[in-house]
Amino acid sequence: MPKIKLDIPLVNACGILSYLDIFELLEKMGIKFGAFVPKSIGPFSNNKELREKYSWGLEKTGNPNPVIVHTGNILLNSMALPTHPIETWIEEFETAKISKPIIGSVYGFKPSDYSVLISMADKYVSAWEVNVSCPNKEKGEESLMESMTKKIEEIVKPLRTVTKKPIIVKLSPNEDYIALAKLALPCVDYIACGNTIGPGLVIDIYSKKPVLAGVYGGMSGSEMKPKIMKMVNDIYGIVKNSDIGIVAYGGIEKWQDVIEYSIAGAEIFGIGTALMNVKDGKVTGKTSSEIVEFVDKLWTGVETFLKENNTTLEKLKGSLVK
Amino acid sequence: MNQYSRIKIKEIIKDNDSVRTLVLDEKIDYKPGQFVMLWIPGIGEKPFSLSSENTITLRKVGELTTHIFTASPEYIYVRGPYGNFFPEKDGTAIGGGCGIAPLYGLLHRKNSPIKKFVLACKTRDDLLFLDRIKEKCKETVAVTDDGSYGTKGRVTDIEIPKAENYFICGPEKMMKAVADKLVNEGAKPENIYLSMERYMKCAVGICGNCSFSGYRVCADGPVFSYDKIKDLPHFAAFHRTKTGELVKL
Repeated sequence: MPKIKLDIPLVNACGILSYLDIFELLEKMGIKFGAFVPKSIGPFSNNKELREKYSWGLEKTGNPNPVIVHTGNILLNSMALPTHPIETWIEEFETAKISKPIIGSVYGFKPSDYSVLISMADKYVSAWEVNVSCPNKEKGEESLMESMTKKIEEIVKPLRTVTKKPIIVKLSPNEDYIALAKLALPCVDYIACGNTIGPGLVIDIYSKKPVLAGVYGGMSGSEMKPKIMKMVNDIYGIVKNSDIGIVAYGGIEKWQDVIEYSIAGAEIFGIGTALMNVKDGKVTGKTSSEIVEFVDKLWTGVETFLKENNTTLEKLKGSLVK
Repeated sequence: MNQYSRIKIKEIIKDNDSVRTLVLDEKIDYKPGQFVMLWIPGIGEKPFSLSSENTITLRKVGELTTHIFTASPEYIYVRGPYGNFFPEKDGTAIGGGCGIAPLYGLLHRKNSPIKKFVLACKTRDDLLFLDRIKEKCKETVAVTDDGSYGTKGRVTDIEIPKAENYFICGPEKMMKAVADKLVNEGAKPENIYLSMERYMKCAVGICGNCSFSGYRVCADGPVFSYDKIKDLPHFAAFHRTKTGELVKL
């Protein structure tokens, strides 16, 4: 089974930082990520023939602002997958100067979209993350969690015929992820745990309106960690005797979180919400230098712990004593 | 509790037909150059620069500003301030169009570092805060496309008052033209500061939509020294739309 070759098992979570020019700059600045995960590509094309052939759209704007709200140390986002055409993604892939592996993320509105998109962009990435679990949607849409999760088998089955690259399927902690993982296991190399949780709702008490223009938003941040930790450990229970790996996405903000997820069973660790600064309950952006410094500190902490305890992440993986 | 402060709008000043200044009932602890996100429930949310600690000057361009112009709301929701700011150094400010507003904020600092101010607009009516700027800044130069005030022509046609540092805010191609002219005349690129603008969604550095050649305007900017950005392929050339697509400016 193909494995993702990473010098450092840290990546950004999909939808965080998002674009290749950002990754290029961070790589130049020496970020300790082993790979980058760009924003999901989706079933959109600027070629009329392709649009007609596959029933694709031209582009997707996602929800209008506000698309994020921070409350009680939880971040809710209702981006709802803004997506530009596959051709303009390919133009960006063609010109990007990134030497670390890229893990492409893909979503569709019907199962066949996934394999078509993967076959179109396969040469630009080192692995694929299959997004079947985003809980966000624009008005009048179904979210992937509502529409695609239940078609997981139909989505992942044909993928091996279009790519030899490792395939990660990203599941949601909202669903019966054990049953879904079992359906996906014969066709994938990794399970990612998990997408944003919920969605949740934040209301402005004066106008009585939702803060998010998309009404609901997927929840992320360190508060979500225990839920995803359990998900990782539950999934580990069904993959431990196989080569299938686990990617942990869920509130990682310090080196101890990486060790904890490793003990639960994960081998790749994604960072998302922690790439913002939170001070006195207020959120601000981290500069590129602050992001590089933050990830460096986190990875140094992991390495120091491993050295001091004469162990490795491989040895720690799934070592939970229940 | 969420991220917003709900602030009463004390007054809405009509600066000209397409520009209004909101006077807020509370002061915002900010540094000139930083921006805030303004939200009106059910209408929308956009980034704006502050023109002083309790004023925000905005041009009518989209749904949110149109609502402010027509409905004169009583309250506005503010999150931020975000981003970096102009350094506290002496210099010449050069503002184009609505870009005058954030630079005007520099004049409110104690011992304001702005000794010289250049305002460039299409016509006399667009020269924001002209009288107030002239009051505070002895050396104020204005240039209008139609010659209705000051010198007729473009900002690059006039002699920009010399200084150690320059602070520029306006349309990106205008900023590039001005910065190039200043460099040609001997200014150091690291002493020229530009306030950049891109389509912004999260405003806290995570979604990536406001990137140009890797820099996220909301977190790495909005103020950049010219040496850092002048050779970047996206500078004065490309921006991302709300789908994230890179298109020509």
